[in-house]
Amino acid sequence: MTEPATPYIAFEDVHVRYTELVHGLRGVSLTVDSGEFAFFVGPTGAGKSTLIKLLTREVKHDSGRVVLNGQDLGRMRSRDIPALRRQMGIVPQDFALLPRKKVWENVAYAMRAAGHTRKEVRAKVPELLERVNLAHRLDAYPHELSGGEQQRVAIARALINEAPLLLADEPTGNLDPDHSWEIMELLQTLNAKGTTVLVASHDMVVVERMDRRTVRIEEGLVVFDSHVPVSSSAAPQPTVEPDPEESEIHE
Amino acid sequence: MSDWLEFVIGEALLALRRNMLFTLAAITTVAMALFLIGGFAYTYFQANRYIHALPTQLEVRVFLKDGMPSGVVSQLGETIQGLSGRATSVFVSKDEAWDKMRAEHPDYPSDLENPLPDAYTVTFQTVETATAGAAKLAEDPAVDKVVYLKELAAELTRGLSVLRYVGYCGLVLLVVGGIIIFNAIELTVVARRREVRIMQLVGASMATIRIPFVLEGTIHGVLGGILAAGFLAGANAVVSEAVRGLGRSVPPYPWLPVSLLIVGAGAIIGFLCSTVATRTMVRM
Repeated sequence: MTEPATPYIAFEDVHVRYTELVHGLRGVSLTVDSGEFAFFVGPTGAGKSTLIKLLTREVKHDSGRVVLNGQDLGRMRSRDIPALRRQMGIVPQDFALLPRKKVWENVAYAMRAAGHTRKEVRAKVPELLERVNLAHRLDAYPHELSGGEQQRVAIARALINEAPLLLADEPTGNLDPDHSWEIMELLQTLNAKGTTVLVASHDMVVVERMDRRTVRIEEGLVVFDSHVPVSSSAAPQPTVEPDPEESEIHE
Repeated sequence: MSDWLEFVIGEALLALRRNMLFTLAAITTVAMALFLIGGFAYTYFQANRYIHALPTQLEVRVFLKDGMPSGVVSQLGETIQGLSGRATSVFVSKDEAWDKMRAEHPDYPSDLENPLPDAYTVTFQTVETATAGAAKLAEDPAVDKVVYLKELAAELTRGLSVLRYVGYCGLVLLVVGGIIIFNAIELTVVARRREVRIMQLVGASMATIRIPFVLEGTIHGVLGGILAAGFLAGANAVVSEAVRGLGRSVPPYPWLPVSLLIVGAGAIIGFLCSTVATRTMVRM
């Protein structure tokens, strides 16, 4: 497979240290091309969510580089983070729905908050709910929905900005196998339309069934990447101590 | 822009309704604080002005009986000249005093008869010589009344220091009000953390996330200020009525500038406290 000159996403020797003793990542290097569908898998605390949060800039790396679509996220100013997040859709594990708002209001609220006009909201909310097969439940409250349906609302909300990147952190963590598969099929459909999809998951049954690129992370290191030959990725990467000067960029 | 404004204002009003208990606590505390401070400031200002208009502790005003011949008036002047510890003495005829009063009160009817007496204003070098001089002049047969307001001035000065304590209490309450607004906003942020998180996830600007909270705090302050301005106008009306009942005149209450000042102060307190709270609680 030919590597493009500039990958859509690049992690270059990325270190994240939460405290002196707790490391999020310990020198991760990895690239993701536009239009890819990739899973970050591994045990709890391995660093899967940290990789996702580096892209949303909820976490800032201590050293190395994180590049998204040519933007060096380490050099990004705080005031530019909202614009960055409008370039991606984020699906959290806990759905993060507003319990007192109906399905369509949940999506509409997010759209209004992201700066869309009332007119745009009126036109787009039914379309988004149609895309996640929830057009028939738009007047339901979250507690009236199944876990899978709630996650689909969260995905509809992640699509409001028509972003080319979808990040999902354990999107099936709270779902049974049937609903998990339902969500994966939806993500697959979105990917087929050109959206780059990155999913952090420890649900190996679903991951294996999907048969997509899988990046295994353990103790902050990439120990396997199905995208590259096993011989060069299976062995743990050496731990590189963070450069003290580069560590200063950590907030 | 109007869509955005509608959204942030709607969010602020929603938070006000959902957080009713803290909203009421914040508004009433700010109102009490501003009422005390506003009342103190206004009363202090008026009392201070009144005291400065009074004779000083070293000044004695000697009012002559009506219709005294000029010879008697001159003789009294010589007596005053000879008083021990006298610093200055000025004769003010009843016509001069009346002209001055008419100039200060142009609303007086033109046919009003001059009710003022001839008078001497005498100043002394010490309180002791002023007290002795006032007593001596009061015995003079040409003198109708001697006004020596040492006690009154001292009382009023003491009154002002009491007022200052009321002002300090107001300041303490203002700090308490500010803390309550701060806490109310913090609680709102905690209560609305899910909305805040969603806004952050979908890339809402910091202004969109923070402004509803700042608006909420500013509304607390403004409503507190309006309440305080109302209390103050009411209190002024009651006090003025009581003072008029004692036959004294009361200067008109400048309700508009006073109210604007108090509401503005409330808005500033609300804005500052909620801004600090929001900056602390809501980060990207």
